[in-house]
Amino acid sequence: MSIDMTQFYQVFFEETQEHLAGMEALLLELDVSNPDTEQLNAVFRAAHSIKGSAGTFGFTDLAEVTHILENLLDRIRKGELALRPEMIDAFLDAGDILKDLLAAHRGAGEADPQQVAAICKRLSELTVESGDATATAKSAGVEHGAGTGAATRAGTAADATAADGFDVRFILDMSPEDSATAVENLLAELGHRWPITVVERGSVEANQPWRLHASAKADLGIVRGMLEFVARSDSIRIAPIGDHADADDSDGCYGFFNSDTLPSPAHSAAAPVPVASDDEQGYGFFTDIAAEPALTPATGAMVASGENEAFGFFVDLPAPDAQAPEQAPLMAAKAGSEGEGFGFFVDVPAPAPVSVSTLTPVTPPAAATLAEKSGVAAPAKRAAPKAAGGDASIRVDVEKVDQLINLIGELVITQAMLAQSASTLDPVEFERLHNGLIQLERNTRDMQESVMSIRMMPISVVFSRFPRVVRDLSQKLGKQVELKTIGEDTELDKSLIERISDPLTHLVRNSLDHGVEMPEDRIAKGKQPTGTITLKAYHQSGNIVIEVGDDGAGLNRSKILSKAKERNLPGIHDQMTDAEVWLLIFEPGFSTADQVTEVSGRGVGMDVVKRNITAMGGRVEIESMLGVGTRMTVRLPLTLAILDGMSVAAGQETYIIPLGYVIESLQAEPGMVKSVSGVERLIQVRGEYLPIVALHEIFHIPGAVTRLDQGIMVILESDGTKAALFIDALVGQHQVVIKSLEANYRKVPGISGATIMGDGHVALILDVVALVHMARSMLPANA
Amino acid sequence: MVQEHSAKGRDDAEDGAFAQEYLTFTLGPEEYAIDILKVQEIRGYEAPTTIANAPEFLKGVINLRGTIVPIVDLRIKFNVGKADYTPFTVVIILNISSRVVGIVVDSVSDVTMLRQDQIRPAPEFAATVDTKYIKGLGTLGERMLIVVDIERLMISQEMALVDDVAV
Repeated sequence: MSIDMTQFYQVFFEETQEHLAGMEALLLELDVSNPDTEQLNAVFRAAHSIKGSAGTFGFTDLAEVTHILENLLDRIRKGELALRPEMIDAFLDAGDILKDLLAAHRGAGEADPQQVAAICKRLSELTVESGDATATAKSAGVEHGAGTGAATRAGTAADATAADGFDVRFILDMSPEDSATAVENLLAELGHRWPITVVERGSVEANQPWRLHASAKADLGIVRGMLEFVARSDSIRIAPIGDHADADDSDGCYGFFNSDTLPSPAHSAAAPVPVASDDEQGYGFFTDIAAEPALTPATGAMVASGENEAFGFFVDLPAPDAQAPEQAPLMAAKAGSEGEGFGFFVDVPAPAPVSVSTLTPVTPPAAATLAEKSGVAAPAKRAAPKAAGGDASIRVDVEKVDQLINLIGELVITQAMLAQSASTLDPVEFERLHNGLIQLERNTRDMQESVMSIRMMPISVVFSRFPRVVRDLSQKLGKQVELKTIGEDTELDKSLIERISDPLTHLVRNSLDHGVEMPEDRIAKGKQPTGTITLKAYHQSGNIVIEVGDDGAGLNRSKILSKAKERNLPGIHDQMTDAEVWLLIFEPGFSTADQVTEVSGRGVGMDVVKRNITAMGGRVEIESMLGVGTRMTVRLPLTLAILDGMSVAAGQETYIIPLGYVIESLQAEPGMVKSVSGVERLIQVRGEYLPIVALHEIFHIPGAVTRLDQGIMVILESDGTKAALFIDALVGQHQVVIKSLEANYRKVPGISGATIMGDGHVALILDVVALVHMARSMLPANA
Repeated sequence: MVQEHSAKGRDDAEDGAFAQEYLTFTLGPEEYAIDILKVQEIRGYEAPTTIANAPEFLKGVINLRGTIVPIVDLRIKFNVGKADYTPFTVVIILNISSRVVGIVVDSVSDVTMLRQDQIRPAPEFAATVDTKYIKGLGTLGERMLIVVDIERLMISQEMALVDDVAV
């Protein structure tokens, strides 16, 4: 009976992704010198959850990395190790590796096994190695000064255990014919649980043992249990890799130290030295010391089972360099009661008890100095860390929500149709019907709003990745940068969230690399050494506006112009406006960076940013002042939002103008319309001359009003540019649901989308920005 | 029933004459056939919302249960018959590579089974429609069915139904 786990994979992927994101955010907020226990716990829990579910779903690689991560975190949160900046780095990198692994499992991209191995090693080293310089010295002192060879070796062996895993040997106990498949199955089964490498292939005839390396976290009990199916139980040897005592003793006597290497009896008492057995099968291991209550030396004594095959270690006699008893390694050796009793290293990080105990009192000041020395600007600290509210949420397929939105759209239309037909009925006679319809209208509107809001997500989902980006990059570039985020609660559609994050990352990187100067340059210019990058999001007239600003060097007009001339870009002249010059940086292959760095300067990127944003129906604008800073503004339409629109008529057609752009509408009086070169192109409104955009001309609408004094002028404003849109008449004001024209058709110039009117007909939504642009570009051509 | 059907299909396949079902419709005097699997539904013609500066054969867009669907008049595109709109004018809603498009035709005839050997390759000839969109000519008694590769036609550039960017 096996349950098909794949059906839960999606949930696992999503959950893990969330945990990783949460972990990263927490790590970035952590104060290295004085970490908050609650935050550490939260990070630990995230790692633990990932490990747990990865294990359940059989993603062993994920589970393995998180296991090591978790161990290190566990020790930090228990106060056994002090948090250090490089640990945070390692954690963040581990998080990246995990993301890669996750992506690989999802079939999107590949994880580099070498990187995985490297991060595991790095984490294990951090787990094992000393917490700070003092501790290192101290532990070194223990090792060298004490001169108890045994203690030293215990340490070495233990370190090796954590870092390298276990060496496993066995001789098969079956006919040569069967052995091939049996070993195959065994390796598959083991490999399924933990990474296993075959070091030496054995043979039954030659009585030659197999040799495997198992990962450090392999459960030796299970390994052994499995081996016993195929191998002679007396031939099975499991030991930490690098353990000197794993010598191929003919008698198979096994322990960390065999009797030959035993130091003098006095020493043996001082260090965790096993008593070599006179039997072949005895093994003993360290148990997790952290979990054990303080043991008195007496309780640390060897516990042996009744049978003569079981062993433990002598432990925990006062250390030779006279450490305080409570610092002494606390160990209990356990031995099973069965024939070949074992104890294990229950917890991987535990095996170096001697050095651990000396590490414990890591002094916070030392850690703080380290943090200061590293010269990294502290990552953006939120003034008030958000309380981690335990929001209850459910996971729903986006498709289901879309379906719901469509249905609500239908409902709204049906309701409008009903209202329209009922409007002809006598309000007195059908009072109850009318009341009911009014109620219905209210309910549908409420319902529409709440359903719409399901798809909307706060932009903080995107913003939350930037502290990390800024931190890593500023560190790499040696800059000091503070990130400020404003308006994280601004909501936009989920699909936009997904698509905006790459372009935004690029803009932020660009600001960091090209905008913010090096600290010394900033000081020379009389600025604060720490630069500021501001991310700001807000709604403006039916758009979401995202600004990426920096207080850096600003764009250099002459430099851009000379680069542009160098590259022979068309239409370059010295009289170009600043805005036009800035837009040049979006040209493909354009870069003013003097040097190509790892981060940017190759000139690819900004053009991609522009293209992506344009593809979403948005625009990018740049404002910049030399020496003061640069601000890039991204404007995106709020697709799927309900739009407040004004419906207008031209000929037989109805169009919707987004209300946010409308300033006023008026009927032109004869004197107001001015002509330029014989064409009536301008209208004078309140002292301003505005270009006239006649909708019927642009869209070639037959039967529309053509005399400018007979229709209506709607004054529109977009980005500070005004224009007068000439239409036949105003019809009404509606809240409309934006429908995409592109879904089944294509983008139409001057049209931003479509909606369905109360009578079930489609009305097109005008793209005001494009129309105003049309007016601008038409003007010189016609004038 | 289903089993019978599939068994029959297999037999046909073994004969080397794989049969497929086609929806046939008329444009003026001509009869056309399209793969029935591309057809989503058939409905009456309703005046669509015109789209500015669109080619003449694109009548506009309609609201199909909340989806905006462009309507193409094949009669104008193929230049056959008179493009007038009567209560009997029919719109075939097609579902092509996850897009929904409507085509206006004079009338829908029936659903026919055509074996591969009933469809002859179309000779090269000059027509308003590029012959590369014609899969072949089907013969059904006296009738000649022009079998159109409707998917290829609808996503082609000359129909201008799909954004160049999106392709």
